[in-house]
Amino acid sequence: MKDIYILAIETSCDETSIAIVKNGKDVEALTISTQMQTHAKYGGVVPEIASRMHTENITIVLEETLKKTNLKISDMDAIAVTYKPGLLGSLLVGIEFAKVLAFIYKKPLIKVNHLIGHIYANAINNDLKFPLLALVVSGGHTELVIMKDDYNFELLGATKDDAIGEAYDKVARILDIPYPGGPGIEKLALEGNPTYNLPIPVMDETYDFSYSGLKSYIINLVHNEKQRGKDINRKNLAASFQKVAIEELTRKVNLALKNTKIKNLIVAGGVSANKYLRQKLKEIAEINNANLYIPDFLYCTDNAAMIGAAAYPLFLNKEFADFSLNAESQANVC
Amino acid sequence: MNTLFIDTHYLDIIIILLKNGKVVDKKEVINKKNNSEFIMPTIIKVIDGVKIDEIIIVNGPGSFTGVRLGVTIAKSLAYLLKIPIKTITTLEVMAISNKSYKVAFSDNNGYYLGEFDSDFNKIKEYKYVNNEEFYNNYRDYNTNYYINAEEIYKFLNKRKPTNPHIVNPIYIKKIGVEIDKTSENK
Repeated sequence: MKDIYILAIETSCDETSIAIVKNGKDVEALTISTQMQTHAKYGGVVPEIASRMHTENITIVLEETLKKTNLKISDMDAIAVTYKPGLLGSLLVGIEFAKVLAFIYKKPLIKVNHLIGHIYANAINNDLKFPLLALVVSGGHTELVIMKDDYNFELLGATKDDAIGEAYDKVARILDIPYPGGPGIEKLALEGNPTYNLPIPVMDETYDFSYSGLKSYIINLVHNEKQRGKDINRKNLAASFQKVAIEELTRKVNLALKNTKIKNLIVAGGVSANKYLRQKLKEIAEINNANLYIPDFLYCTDNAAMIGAAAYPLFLNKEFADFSLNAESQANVC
Repeated sequence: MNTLFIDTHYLDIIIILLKNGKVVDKKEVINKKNNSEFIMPTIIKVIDGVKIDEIIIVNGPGSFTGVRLGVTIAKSLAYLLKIPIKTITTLEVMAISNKSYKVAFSDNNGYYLGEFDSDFNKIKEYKYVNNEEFYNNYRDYNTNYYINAEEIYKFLNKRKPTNPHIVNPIYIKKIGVEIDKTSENK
């Protein structure tokens, strides 16, 4: 069969990224231009600034990507782009850029759900084995999904309030950890011990999650201690939070693996870069005799290679978008 | 010599095709806030099958998103087709088309102001004022948004093309975090 090359574009948040992906699994070229340092000055992503930087960088990022390969745009079989979920203004820059590429080079345009992109980060250098259980954990999402085949999703459970990544960011803020908070908490937690007795989010046997109670408890705890003039042990609190937050994820994953008898577990989304989560999931997978797949660190955070991987099954199905494609800020996996 | 003129600075989309400086085609989409659905389809209607030699893009100030989408498309077209691109501001468009030297563009919350000499060179930095300040001090400014693409084309003959990588919107109006930063510095 002829090799399929897809040029993929990802601009949903604060990374401008373009990749060329062969057959949905081989990354021929990838560029990720991160704006993290700019947004760190403001304590979080400023949507208008993110959009501005995408427009400033997009043609340069394409040029950088093409320098890394002998392939030309004319060699591509399709142009793929993230269209949801994300920051509207940011998504739109990538979408318009993709439309121009598709128009000039007469290539089909493929629209990709960013979250499904995170799942397909596991297809890079790898074959997805179905049925599989996918844990999607990011700044905006905490979901457990069953996949019986490509693009065949069944939602098992999701967060009822905050996403785990959001809880990490908010707890980081109260502990004065600079943006981005997730890696900051992880680092601090390594130096501490889980000595704080924190409430466990949801002690039920469903597949749903909840993080707002845990987050609020910590915010109140820090405020109360401050008012009493007492010092918070930041390292121990970070370690305590991380233990409770992550173990709630793994407890539900364990439950799902036991009940569904699924033997393939994949992790997707920015929080999958967390080493404590990786370690805990490894243990759970072993207990359940399941195979665990986690993307390389490079493909855990936002990148266009995963968009190219997720676009491949859509290309094979000829699911193409037209030039009226628009962005959507909200979306789930299914 | 085909020139594509793109203006998406506010709620309208205006796409004009000039041949040797004369308007030969024009498509307008009026008052569509959600521009993304319409900009590329409208541009394609004008340029499909036409060899474009040059692009003129109105790069603001105006609606942040509106300007940004037009500029993103224009710089991408110029970069990929390897053709020259020239920028013109909304205030220059108004001044040249109306032959006015003091012009103001309203985004409903306030006005962007431009002042030009008789050759339409900017003589003051653009600024953004609120409605009250406008009515008190700048009521004599021309607020009619009108495009004379042929006059703009002539005006741009003396301007050199810009490298597509560095074609970007001008915004003028400050955003929330910029205002916070300024007050912190005081």
